[in-house]
Amino acid sequence: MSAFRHGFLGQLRQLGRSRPNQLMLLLFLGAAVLAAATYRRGVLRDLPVAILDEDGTALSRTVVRDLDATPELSQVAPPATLAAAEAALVRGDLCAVVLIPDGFTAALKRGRRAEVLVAADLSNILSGKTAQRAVARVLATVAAGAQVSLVEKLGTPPSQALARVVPISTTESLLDNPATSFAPYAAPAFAYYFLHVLALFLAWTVLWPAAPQRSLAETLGRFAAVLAVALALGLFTTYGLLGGITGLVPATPAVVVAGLLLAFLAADLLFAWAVCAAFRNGLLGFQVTVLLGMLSLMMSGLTWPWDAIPAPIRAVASAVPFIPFGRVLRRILPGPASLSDLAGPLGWLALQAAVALAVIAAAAFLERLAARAGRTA
Amino acid sequence: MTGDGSTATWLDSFRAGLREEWQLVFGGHSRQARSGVLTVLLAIPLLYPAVVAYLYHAEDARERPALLVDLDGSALSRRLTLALEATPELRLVGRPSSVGEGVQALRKDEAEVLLVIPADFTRHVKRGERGQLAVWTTGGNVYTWGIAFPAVASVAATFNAELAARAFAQKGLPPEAARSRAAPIATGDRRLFHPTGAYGRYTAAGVLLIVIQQLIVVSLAFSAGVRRERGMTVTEGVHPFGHVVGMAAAHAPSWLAGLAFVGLAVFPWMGWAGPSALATTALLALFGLAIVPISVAVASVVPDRMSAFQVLMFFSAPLFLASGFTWPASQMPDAVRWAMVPFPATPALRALRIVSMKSGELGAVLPELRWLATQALVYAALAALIVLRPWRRGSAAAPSLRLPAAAAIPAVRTEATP
Repeated sequence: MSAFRHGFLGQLRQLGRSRPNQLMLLLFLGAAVLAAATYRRGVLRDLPVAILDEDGTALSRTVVRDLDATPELSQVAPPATLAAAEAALVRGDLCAVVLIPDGFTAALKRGRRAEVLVAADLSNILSGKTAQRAVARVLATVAAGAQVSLVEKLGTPPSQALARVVPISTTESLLDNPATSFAPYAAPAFAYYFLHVLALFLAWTVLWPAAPQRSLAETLGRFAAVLAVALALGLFTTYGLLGGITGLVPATPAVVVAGLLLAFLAADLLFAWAVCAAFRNGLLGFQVTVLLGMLSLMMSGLTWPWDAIPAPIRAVASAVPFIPFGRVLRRILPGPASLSDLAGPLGWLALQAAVALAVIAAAAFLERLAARAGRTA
Repeated sequence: MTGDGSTATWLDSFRAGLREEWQLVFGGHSRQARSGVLTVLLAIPLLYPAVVAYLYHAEDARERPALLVDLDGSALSRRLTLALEATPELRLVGRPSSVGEGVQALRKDEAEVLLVIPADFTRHVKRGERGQLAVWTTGGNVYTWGIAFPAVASVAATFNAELAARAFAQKGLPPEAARSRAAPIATGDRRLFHPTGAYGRYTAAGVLLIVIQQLIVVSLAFSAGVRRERGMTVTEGVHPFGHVVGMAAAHAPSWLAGLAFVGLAVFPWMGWAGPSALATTALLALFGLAIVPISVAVASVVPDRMSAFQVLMFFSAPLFLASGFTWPASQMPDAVRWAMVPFPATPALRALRIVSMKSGELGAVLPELRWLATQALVYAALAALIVLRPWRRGSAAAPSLRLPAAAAIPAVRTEATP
């Protein structure tokens, strides 16, 4: 017990006194704050769009007003020339250009198809597609209005007119993210990704430089200290940073969240230990840990979907605790997660921990065999 | 260079730094003696780009897994189902018997989207009331929702046009007029610069620019960490700036090779280079050049190998995240935008977006290049200040730059410093 305690307190002292560790902890907090703050707004608003109304009728002015009134778009003064418009699109000063040609209203009234040109900058697919969809929604509304007017003139009662021309309505239900906000999608993913990288690095403060004479109890004590620090930071990230900056607080009870964080971070530490053991306590193990850690977010399925990730990369990613924890995140944030919701990812974490322990034990056994063989030789 | 090093020139220090660094990178035959710098110099520029390119080679995530609940079972609902199945953006993976069952399947990640055609769908449509096609998702991945929902809406719009045309025809309009009236406004969509809207091209190029940053900063810092662990010279000596620049020069071939690999091989092969692979590569090179002073400054202070990774790896993702490359800068709080101004990755990523996806010309990004140049000058001055300060204090006590007679690289310490 005293070796464990000695390791625990010794590791805490080491973390507290070491300037690089202090800096790393500060950088982690800064990175997590940045992740939360960057996506604080959550939805794209006021994307600059230039609207060229060459028609100049009441209807075209209605279209212009409706476009400007959408929260996603903000009308800016149209560039004077085509070259200026092109330059503005290249520089990113404009997100889209909408051209309502001369004859738009006349075509509509005469039953000919009226065309509106929408040129959207899709170099940033987030803003480009958002602008496109906002314009399409406004034009669909205007088109429906024109159809309703006509069908009423043809004798359809007003109460049935809309249903005659737009009989199928498509309704969207986003159970856990009704505003289609990027905040719950991206901010937690980044914040916990930084926690994951921090946990791996903290694990290596125990593992490197190698200390073969250290007892298992002391090593476990040191890991326990790292786990305690990482857990404290994880809870602060959850309820302090994410909750405070973006308002995203897990709907799952805090005790459960703490337990899940504990499981995740413990699996992370075991993962780092296993990689270290597999590479015989050499620096290559640390470099492999860093490589896998840094690629974790891209391989997690939280942003780029899991089924789009090539199978070999999925196979490697399956060993990294951040990947099942990403599934936990999707469940604990929007609503109270039940055990059946969490069984899959928790089982995955448990399997990873078991494999890590097996690797650590096997490496220790092989080392002892090698040492014995060396002595008898 | 004289025996006591006191009249060593800047060039002598540079050469010494270069020579020692080559020995450090390539020397050592045992696991203990190897410094690990070579691994860093090879792994970062080769492995990261290869993994990122492979990860995003699909470019876009089509065929989102969808469930469909058809409670109507009519001819119209079956036609609608066929049309939904035929869209490339969706892949029907199941037909649950109820909405509840479907929602449970969503929660278990068995699918991303649940489409529901209610029981009275066709009856409503025939009665002149609106039929509802409901699209459910958990909303966990906004990106894939942005692929799936517009596809469903497009199918619904096609059906609406057909049914509206039928309604107009029933009112006596000729068929062609009925079709025009059913879809009175046509949107001529022009998808500029990135017509496919693929996610891979949108994201991965920026990731690889950050990889180049990490290569340059981490490799030199890592090497400096090794030297300090082994008691070797970094910024001590008569001309410390020359010495550390010599170290950087030893790494430069790897940096240049990494840049060339990314800009002239990976980018063009993946279709990410844009109108001009040369211009994109030149931009990467200018960015790399701007990063070197930071690399020198960091190498001057990092105490050991692990610190190099610990500290520097926490810069890569945040710099990418808050640069404006993916989430637009205009949507970020002012405080975040201002916080990102000092970092070279910010103007570099903005320039990369323009050069690699739009203009293909460095002339289009002169403001960003000026920003980068200003940063490079400031960081060069900062690096000089950091490196030279010890030199101002104790140049008389500076150790000799001559290598020890045995020229063997000392083994790394394995015991933790108390």
